[in-house]
Amino acid sequence: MSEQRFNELRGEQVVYAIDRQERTFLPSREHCPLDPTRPGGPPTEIPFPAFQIAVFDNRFPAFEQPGGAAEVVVYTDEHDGSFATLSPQRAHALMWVWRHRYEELGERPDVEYVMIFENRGVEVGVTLHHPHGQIYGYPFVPPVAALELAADERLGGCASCALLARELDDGERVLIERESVVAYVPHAARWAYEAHVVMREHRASLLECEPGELRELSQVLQALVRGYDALFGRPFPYVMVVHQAPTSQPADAPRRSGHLHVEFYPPLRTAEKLKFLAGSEQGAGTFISDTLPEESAAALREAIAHAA
Amino acid sequence: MAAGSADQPAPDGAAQDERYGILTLARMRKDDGRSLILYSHDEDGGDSGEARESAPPREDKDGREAGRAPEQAPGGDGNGGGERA
Repeated sequence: MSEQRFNELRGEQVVYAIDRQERTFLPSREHCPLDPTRPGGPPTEIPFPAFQIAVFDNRFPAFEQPGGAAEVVVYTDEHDGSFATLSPQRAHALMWVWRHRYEELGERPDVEYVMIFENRGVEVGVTLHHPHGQIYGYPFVPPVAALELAADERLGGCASCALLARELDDGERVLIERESVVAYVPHAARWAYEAHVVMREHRASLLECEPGELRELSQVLQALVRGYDALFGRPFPYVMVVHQAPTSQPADAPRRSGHLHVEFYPPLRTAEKLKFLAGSEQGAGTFISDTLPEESAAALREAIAHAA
Repeated sequence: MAAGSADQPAPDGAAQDERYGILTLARMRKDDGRSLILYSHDEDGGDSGEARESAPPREDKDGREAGRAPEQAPGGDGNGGGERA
């Protein structure tokens, strides 16, 4: 069971999940716990010889009932590959899985915020290479989500809607523009190749999306990550996070909205160099970037076109 | 879906299949009590799951209907292809 402590100086919760020290760390291919359980082979987390998408409670949870949730989402029973190499049908199905988990976890009284995410690459701390993501059901609204809600109040409406309008008006950082989904490098990106994939219409969560929007979201996400891989001709590490409305709606508070979008935080600043969070980022909370978002967007557009 | 030998299947002895949008779900419990859900979908290019692309309306924690499920899907993926990995 994890423990939460409130860090007064930062005004934020810190979660201690000490059992996670023992979690499986970069196992050999033959002992991947996310592979299917094959006849004669070692047992894995999925006790079947084949499957499409599997979701299970994390064996080493950061949160667990009645204090939240931690789930693993396995995209495929194929050990190799990535989100980018899934079939279009599988990527589309994954959007529905995300939607289902957001709905079910969000209905739980011990979950206030559902965060779907994927860590890709050892550069961001991945411990299992099998294509997979995770879902945390936080028993509180975490700081980033709270900041987005505060931005809504500061801008007098949906901040994501306003920022998308600005990006479309400017156009210089737009990567992909589709009927219902737009991808762009944000005006004030913190990471060299940060990108946001945003629903064009205001959708608080996956629950409000039309089927065609879910399909198009999967297509744009895949186009972007394929472009990432093409950018430096290597598997591109990233953290991908689905941002949605908090699932808790206190009766005595204004309805907490949100705008479904997916943010990518890639640590690479060149093919070989990583961006580290060092003095200014950790001590002052101020990112120092050596790449202009407009230059990143131009390079990414070219890579996405090359990968298409 | 291969779902015949779960560590601990649903109470009636077999995984219970549910539908959700384009998905079919099978819920079960692992030996240690953890939840496991297997999701399956139409992996073919033709979208035979089109007619299933809807889900029941949802009520939020306050009992309000929220996030009404999408009505009907437009055409299928149309771009075929299996697992590329």
